[in-house]
Amino acid sequence: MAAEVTALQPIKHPSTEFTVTPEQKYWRSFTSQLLLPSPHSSPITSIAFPPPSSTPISSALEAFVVTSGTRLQLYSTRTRKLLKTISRFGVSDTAHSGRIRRDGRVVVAGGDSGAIQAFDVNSRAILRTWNEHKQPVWVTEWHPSELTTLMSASDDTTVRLWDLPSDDSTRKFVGHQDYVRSGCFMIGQANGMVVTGSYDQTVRVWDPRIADKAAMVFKHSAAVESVLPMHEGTTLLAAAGNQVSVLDLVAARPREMLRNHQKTVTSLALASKGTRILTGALDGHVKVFDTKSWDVIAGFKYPSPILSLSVVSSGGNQEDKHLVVGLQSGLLSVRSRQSGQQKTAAKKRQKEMQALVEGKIEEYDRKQKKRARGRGWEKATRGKDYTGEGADIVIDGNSRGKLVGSRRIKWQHALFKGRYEDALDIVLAPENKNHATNANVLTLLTALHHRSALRVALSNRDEQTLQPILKWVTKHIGDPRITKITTRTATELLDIYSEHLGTSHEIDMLFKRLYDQVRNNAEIAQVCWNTRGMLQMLCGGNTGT
Amino acid sequence: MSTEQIPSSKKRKRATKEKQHIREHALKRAKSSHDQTQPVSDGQNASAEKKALPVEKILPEPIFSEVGKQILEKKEKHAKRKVKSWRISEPIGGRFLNMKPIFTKDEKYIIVATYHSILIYSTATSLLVRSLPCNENDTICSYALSSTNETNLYMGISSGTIYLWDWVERKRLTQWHHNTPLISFIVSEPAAGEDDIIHTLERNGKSKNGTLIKSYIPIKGESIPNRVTLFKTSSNIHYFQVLLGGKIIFATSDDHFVVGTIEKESESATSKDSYRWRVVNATDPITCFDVRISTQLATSTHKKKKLKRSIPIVDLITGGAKGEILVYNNIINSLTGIEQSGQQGNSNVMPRRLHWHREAVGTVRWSLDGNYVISGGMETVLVLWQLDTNQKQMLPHLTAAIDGLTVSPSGSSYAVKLADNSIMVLSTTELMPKAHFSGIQSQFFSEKEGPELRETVNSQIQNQSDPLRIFWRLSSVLNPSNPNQLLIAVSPGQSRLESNSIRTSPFLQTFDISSSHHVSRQALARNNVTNFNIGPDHKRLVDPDVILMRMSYDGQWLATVEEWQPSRSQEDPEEDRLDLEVYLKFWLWNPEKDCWMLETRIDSPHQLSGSSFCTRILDLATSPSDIKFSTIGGDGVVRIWRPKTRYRDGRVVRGGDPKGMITWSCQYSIELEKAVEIVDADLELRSATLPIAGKLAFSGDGSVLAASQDFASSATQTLVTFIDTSVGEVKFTRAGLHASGLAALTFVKQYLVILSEALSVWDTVNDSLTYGFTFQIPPLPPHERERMAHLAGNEAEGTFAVALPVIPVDAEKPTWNLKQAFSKVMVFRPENPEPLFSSRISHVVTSLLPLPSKGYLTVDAAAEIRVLTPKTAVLPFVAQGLTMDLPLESTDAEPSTVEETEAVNGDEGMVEEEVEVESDNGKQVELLTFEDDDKPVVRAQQLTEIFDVGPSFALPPVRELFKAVVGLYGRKSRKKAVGEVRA
Repeated sequence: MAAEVTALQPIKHPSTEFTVTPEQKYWRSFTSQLLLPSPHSSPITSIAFPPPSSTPISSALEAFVVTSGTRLQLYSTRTRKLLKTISRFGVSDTAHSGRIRRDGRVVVAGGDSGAIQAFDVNSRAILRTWNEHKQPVWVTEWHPSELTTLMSASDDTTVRLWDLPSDDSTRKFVGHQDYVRSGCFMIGQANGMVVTGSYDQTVRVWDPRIADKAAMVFKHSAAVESVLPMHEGTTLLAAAGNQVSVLDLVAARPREMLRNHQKTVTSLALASKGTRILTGALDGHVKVFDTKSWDVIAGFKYPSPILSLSVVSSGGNQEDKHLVVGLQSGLLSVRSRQSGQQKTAAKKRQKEMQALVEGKIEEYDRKQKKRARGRGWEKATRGKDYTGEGADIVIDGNSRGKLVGSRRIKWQHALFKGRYEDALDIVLAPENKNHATNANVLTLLTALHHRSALRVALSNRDEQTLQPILKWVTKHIGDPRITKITTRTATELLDIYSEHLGTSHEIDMLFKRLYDQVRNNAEIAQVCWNTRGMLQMLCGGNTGT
Repeated sequence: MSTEQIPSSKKRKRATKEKQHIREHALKRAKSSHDQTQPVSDGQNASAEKKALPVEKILPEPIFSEVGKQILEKKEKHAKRKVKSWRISEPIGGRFLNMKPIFTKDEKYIIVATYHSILIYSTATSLLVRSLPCNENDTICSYALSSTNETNLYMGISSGTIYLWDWVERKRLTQWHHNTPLISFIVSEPAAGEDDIIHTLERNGKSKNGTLIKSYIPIKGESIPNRVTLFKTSSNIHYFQVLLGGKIIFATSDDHFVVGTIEKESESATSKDSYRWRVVNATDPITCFDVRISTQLATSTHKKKKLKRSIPIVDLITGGAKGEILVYNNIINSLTGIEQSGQQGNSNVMPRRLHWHREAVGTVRWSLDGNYVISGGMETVLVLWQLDTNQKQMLPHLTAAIDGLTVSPSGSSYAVKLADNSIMVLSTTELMPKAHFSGIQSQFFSEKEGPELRETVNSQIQNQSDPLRIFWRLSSVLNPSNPNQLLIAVSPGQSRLESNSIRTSPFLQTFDISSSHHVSRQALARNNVTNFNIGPDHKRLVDPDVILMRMSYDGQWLATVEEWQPSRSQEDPEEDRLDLEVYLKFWLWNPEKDCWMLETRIDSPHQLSGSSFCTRILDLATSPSDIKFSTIGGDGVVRIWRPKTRYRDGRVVRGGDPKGMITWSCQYSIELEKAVEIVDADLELRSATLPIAGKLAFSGDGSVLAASQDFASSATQTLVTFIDTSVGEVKFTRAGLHASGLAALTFVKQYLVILSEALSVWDTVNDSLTYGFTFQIPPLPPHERERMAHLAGNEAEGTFAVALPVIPVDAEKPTWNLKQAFSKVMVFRPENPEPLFSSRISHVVTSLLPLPSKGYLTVDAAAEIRVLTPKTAVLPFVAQGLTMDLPLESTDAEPSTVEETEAVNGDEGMVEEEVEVESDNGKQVELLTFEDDDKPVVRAQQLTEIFDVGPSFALPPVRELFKAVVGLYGRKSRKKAVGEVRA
């Protein structure tokens, strides 16, 4: 019947509406941004990464190709380092749409001169040049399954299909009335079909089996800057002006209009195995859409208009690895994310290095070994090595009233025993930094208040022991959620130690900092009040006070 | 600042306009209907003048001066006839007396008592098996088992009567009258002869202080016994104990104890002169003591014949108010030794000191073998001292202070009486509970018993608290899905040593009224059960107080409001407000775990806008038709709370529950009209305009919520606001419906009943005052009145009840006379100002609840429940323990007495008879089978199926036939037997 001693409930703040969603958390984990300037600061017009193929090629070069000015640059997806630069374009020529074949051997690119060039990646030799287009070629694209087929689209309003060995185009689609600036092969159900977007405000779907006529035409209200087929092959995204339309190919009508950007959307990319869409626009924003609800679930801001973007995935299950964004200013931004395993490995390495530097590597090794044996190992093997005589069985003492995992909650033990000062010392101790989360300190201070022991716990401190709590209060007094407890603690501290002010320089400085902090927050509050007053005037009698 | 003033002035204008409009509207209505608002105020004035009316006459006085007289006359006629149409039940529950529980010799039963009955519980099942009531106006003060006859039980009445009962048969055998008030008595085994000897502790009738110890041998048939006074003292003796049939008597007073021994062996223990009394002073007040005769005596009985004056070895232990336990080994010998040595030097005996308890020791007992001392007290820890080794074993965190302890006759179990009005039987070996029974654990008022404690934690609490707080409203609710279950917020216990100190109530007790049985207890708020219960400032830690509690109409949701404030020495209202913690909690019933699970906690739900001040929740109401709660706060805002499914990122949060988790949130927040519009004032001024009381009531269909507030300044007009609960908008505001001093609101049919300084019933359909009158309530402070006046409406029956406290004031001292306090309960119909029923309840009512069928239920300050019902209605439940008796262990495997075996045999005989009857009459049997839903009876067909399988020579072997028949009957008779036992 005796009540069990349980651990204190940690204090939780009420959840607010501005919580970070798991989705935001995921996209925020793309950190360690790398900003790479391009030569001559020419804008980065295209970033390409070979789409994941159904038959992975083991020798494939893991790289993505970036087109800017007269160069194609190949970056490694592993190290984010520049692997190769291909710059065999004319002086006045500008390269467009560098695309790497999925086996990583051949790169194709169009140019302002109207030429399409295919390069060998290793030797950087020009394998083939086609000069059929009379106007700049803005789009080249490899066929998703056939290694030798590719397409191109040009400002001369034509769209052509090519075979790598042959000199002439295999097919020519005529129908656009203006520059064709975007296009690609369809995948999934509509494998082999071609979709293009043009400045004549239309998106056309071409079937190589039908001659001279687009299979489908979607009219938009602005020039189409980018098209992107979804994996299943029945949905198509097209960026026209500052809108992105989601086109349903089966029903042959737009399903959704995404009006989230302020300026022209220039690039579209798939992420997270086709379940997320990223859009980049001239307003410098990258937005992440959920493909089920078509809601914006995350976003990034870049300092300059975005011209191209891609999400580079890697590994067996195609996890998103890099978010690569090309900017008008010629900067290439690469943000990377580490998967869970990589993260722990990195942490471990770091710890090991630190131990090595501090000269505690042996202790570290011992600890690791112990950990590797798992929990309860000692318990399981206890007494196994015992050979002597004596008692048959050793029974552990009465465990009633013991707090579980007492090492973890040493401070709770001290609190339970009525050693209030000790509890506060333990929870704020610098070596306990990992455990001394805010929640712990907050829980303890609240518990102390509930036991009218706050004053006792705070009093009788010297210069050294006063500092941690004073620092904590100074740091957190601005948090509106815990104002009550922080102000209460601060008041008690001032009450107890005001007469000792001036005896220690450090403490004086800390109190000064506390004062500054409080004054800042009071000013902020004053501003809020002013705003409230103005808003009240605006709202008038509609809503009450 | 200037930016705010423009809208505020506009607003004020608008508000005043609206007010005027409402007032005009109200006036018009009032004039058109009856001109009733005016007389109300007249009546008030009149009542104020008539202050000096005797308290007893709280008959309602109609305000209508002209019609009033006629009604009054009529009413008096009617009243005599009608009062009898309602009845009030015997009290149920009650507080256990501050006496140690008694084990019967076979340890199967434990005997305890409340003021009104002696209760006998079974230790095997924790159920109440017998209750022996006393007369209605008497109170039991003590009880004891006869030492000669196991089935006889003595019951002492405080007015000075001792009854003898046969508790097995539940028969009162005989009685003896004394003429002095009794405190307690002890029955002891006679040294020779067959009759018990009774030693009584009585109050000295003449003087205020002073006690007597008398003894007599109760002889049947002699109603006024011949009693001998053994000891007379001017000090107050609190506890006494008698050894060896009266040869040795121990008694303790405030600061000393007295030992009386018979000097001359030959004389019987019946004359005063034969005793020699010795007084030993103690440093601290003695709160408990125990004596035991050590085993050496058994060996020395042989020597007794040789040594004419052998004195037995008696060991005494006492517990003090400061936590010290003193062990006096062989006390009598050492006392005589000191005397014989010529009274020189130190005349004190030197006790052994055991000090672990921080506070007063609640109980101290010898174990049977004398090797251990068992003690307990306010620390809620049971301590077992091993005297030889100085080792202590502890059983901590018993949830309530320990008040008393009894070691069972065989020593195999302890009965621990806890301060939360419960008794727990622990096994001695593993200290695990075997049985537990509890009464109602609500706050309880009692007269001071035991020694006066000075300079202890308890006395500090006593000095601080408000004396009337013990009569404040008890937060309680009846479970709509099981109306036998009463839920009350209870405190961690009221120890006998701090009898009337106020403890806040953080626990929930579920009590079954029909069986007078404690169902469960759980914590509703943070509590200090496992903590140090004394803070570093040497004050008892205060738990949060559950002040309001309501249950949704389907019994699935419970809403509670709790408040907490640290105890402070300096009075600083500003600081106080900052420290106030108010939580609104929503609990969901979990049938698997049989407890309420917290779903949502809302911190400071009524925070004063624009500040961090948290205001109190003044009232909580639940909708009768919808899962919806409503609160009114000290900030003048009404909030309506609704459950909703919890979402995270647009997805339902399931958390193991397939239906998704539910969270409660505020659906509507409606600001009520303030008394004075001060928008731009200091906080201090603003807080002065905040309401001091606010009340809510849902209409019967839950569509309308009525809210009203009461302000400190009496000049303000009282408004009742009607809110449409579906849209959360104020639909109508009515002024002048009630006087100031708002205490409660309720809807009965279309009538709104308002209890304030006056009672008014307002018809919402006609918009007219049906009737109203003022009460002569003793001048309680307003915040007290609000917490002590009760109003409950019974929608189903169309009546409402009012319970008002009557607390007389001592003429000499300006203090409340709490002992004389009682309550007046009246039942009305909203159509008729004559009360249907009016009665006096001898204790102050702390809770008044409507029953789901007809009638009302009251809980009072003596922790007793009474049920008020119309006589025509079937009493829905009465504590069956009081009217019916459970059989005493008739299903024992090995019946110990001959009588019981006979009883069992008798049962079997009955079963057989029934079998014959039923198998004869097939139709009746069929009916029975339909009712019982299983096949307990044997049909003729079934028998024929066994026997008529073919010609007689083709029958199966006899053994199989026998098995088949036995299979039929055997199954049947067993079930039937179980049914018999249950019935």
